Amino acid sequence: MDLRTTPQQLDPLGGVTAQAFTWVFIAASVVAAVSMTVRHRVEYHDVVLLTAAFVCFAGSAAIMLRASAPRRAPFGMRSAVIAFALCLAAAALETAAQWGGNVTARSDWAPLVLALLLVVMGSFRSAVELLALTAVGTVVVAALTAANSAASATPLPPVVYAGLTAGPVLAAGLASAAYSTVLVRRLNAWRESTRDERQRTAERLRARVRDDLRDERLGLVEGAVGPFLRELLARGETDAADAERARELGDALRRALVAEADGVWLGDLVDELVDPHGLARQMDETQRAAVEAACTALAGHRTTAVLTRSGARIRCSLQWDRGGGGRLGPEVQAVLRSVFPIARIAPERRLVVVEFDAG
Amino acid sequence: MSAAPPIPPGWGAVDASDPGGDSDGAWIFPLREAALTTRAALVVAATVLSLTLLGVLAMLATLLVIVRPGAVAWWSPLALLPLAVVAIIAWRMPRLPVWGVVGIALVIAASLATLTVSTVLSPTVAAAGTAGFTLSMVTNVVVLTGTVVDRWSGGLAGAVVGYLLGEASIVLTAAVVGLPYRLDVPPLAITVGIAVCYLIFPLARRRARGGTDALERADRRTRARRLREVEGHESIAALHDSLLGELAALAHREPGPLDGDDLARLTVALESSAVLPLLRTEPRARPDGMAAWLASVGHAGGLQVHLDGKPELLDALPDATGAAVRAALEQCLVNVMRHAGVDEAWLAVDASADQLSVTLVDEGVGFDPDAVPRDRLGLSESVRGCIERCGGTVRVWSSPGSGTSVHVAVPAGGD
Repeated sequence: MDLRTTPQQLDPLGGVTAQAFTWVFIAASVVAAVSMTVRHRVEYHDVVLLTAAFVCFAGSAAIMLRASAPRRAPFGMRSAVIAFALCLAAAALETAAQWGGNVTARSDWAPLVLALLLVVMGSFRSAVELLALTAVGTVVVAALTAANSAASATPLPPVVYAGLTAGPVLAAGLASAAYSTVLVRRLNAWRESTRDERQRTAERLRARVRDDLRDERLGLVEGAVGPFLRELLARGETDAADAERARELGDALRRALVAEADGVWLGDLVDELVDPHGLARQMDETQRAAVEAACTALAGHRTTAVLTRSGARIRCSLQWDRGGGGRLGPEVQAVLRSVFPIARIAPERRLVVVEFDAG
Repeated sequence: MSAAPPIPPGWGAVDASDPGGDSDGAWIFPLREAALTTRAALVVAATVLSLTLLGVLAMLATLLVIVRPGAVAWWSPLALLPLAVVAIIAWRMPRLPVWGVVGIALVIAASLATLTVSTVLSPTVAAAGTAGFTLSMVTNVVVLTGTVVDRWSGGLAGAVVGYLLGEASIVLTAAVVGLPYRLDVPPLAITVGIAVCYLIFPLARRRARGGTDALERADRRTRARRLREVEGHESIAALHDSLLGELAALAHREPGPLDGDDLARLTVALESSAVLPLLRTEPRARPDGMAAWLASVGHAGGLQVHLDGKPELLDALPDATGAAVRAALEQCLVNVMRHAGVDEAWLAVDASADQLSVTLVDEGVGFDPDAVPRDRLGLSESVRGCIERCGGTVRVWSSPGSGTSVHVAVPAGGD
């Protein structure tokens, strides 16, 4: 279980922290790739292939940066595989660009970049996936280096050079998988250890809500209905005026109860709610909490929520005007993306669209 | 717009019958826990990275010893062993005393000095001087071990000290044994990288977790509101069954003295309103079983209820589910009495392994279910609300002139 769960699934905010390090590691990769290429430029004899390698690397980096953005969370397996495949392609193209002239295997930048990429993925993907990618990366890099060393007539056996480039990839991949495993294991352990306390908190909350409700209900009933019934009990008979009074009281009580039964939670959070069919009720609690957090963050703006059916799902669009304070922070973006099966977050257009399963 | 992966366990919809379940707040990992967890994960990752690098170095050195005798000093793989032991000790002993840290530093310095000597004695790697692959990788390992040992600054000082210790050991030994000095970039880059990461960490974490309090508040407010929604609907159903019903009866009765039954009902209605909204948590007495009770309710209103199937199964339901089914069926019978215009109804009970089904049929005037006004709380709250809150379903078939069938299905084994 721990090996297949991603840290980001259990802790969406951790993904937001990791995004900063994605930028740092990508920047370090760029510096390493460029500086190593310049320093060992005599080993490259095909500029086109080298350029293609850099294009693949750039594509991989772009995917990593895009996929790690909170507004696109969680970092999906497809993005991880594509970024990894592009990096492997960069390694193959770099090897081709220096084919037969690879004097120092340690000067290859693509394996180093691949290792850094695996390290970054530790915050986002599961240990099983990281181990699989590591195995593939190690074998491919080792094969490329060994083949190039053989073609370059190097003094030592090709397998030694393969170890120089594939070794760091293997180490980085295993370390990344270990990192992911520890995060997931400790997150699950924290959930388990706090389960009782959270249940006690929930019970306290439930008791408080019941007390509040009882007070409100008693206020509703005791205001008019209670005295009326007690008067009838004391009098022991009814007349036509009592029947009319009973009807009036019944209608008033019914209106109050219907108004409460029809109340929509989202109505309290936005300035305008368009939800003629009461679809907002079908959000589960965690989804409601995420939307509430978004609305709270945008409290300084005039917000509008529109709920419509979209096939088997329900679509909730949240828009806000340009003026006012507050913004949709990365933590809220990440939570929205993680909690809803489908979410499109476009702060620059002042728009959030989420979809959830109809109950 | 792209589909995100499935919602993980613990984040899904909370059963409406159990609001405030065990997923409360579990999706917001506290700041302090996050910091400790990140540190623990980094320690393990650094150790795995170190041990793997040392393993690769040992494997390559052993390979060279075997296939190219004389290419490297035959004992060089053994010189890596102390570094592996130190890495494991640093990982497994989180509270190393100062003398332990000093001991580790001495072992590291001795190992690096030994490996520097082995480099001089290894013709294939000596040409690279102090920047050879082996010395470079073991310096990386020392930097990482420094971060693991360092419990005081979170790892930053440990990395710097590790780098300085490693470089000093290698450079001094190299000067003694005549190994040429070459600037080794990777360990320096890793040390700088660690320093940069430690500087960025507070900023990145503040950016991510700065809104944790707001998220937690939103979570608490939402759960309180949801609890209120569920509990509120319970009490709406209870009020409907008690006070609203009584007020309706008073509005329609002929003026005159109140008899004993009238007075008893008024008393019950007042008493029930006083314990709202906990009315339904107190099971009512059912002296002859639920089916017999329902039949007597019908009888009191002039309705003969024919029981069919396995009515005794109603008494095997868990308390909360049984109370919900009883309340819902009572309301259905009241609806038949008030609106159907017939004096007979049929109640059939059936069960499968995981579900109990009750069907109430009358041949009365019927109605259009879609045309029921929204302010009629009987069907929406007292019947559908009661049953759905305990995980069941309600289906109604009716049309004007062709009677009504109400099908109630609830989980057989639990609330």
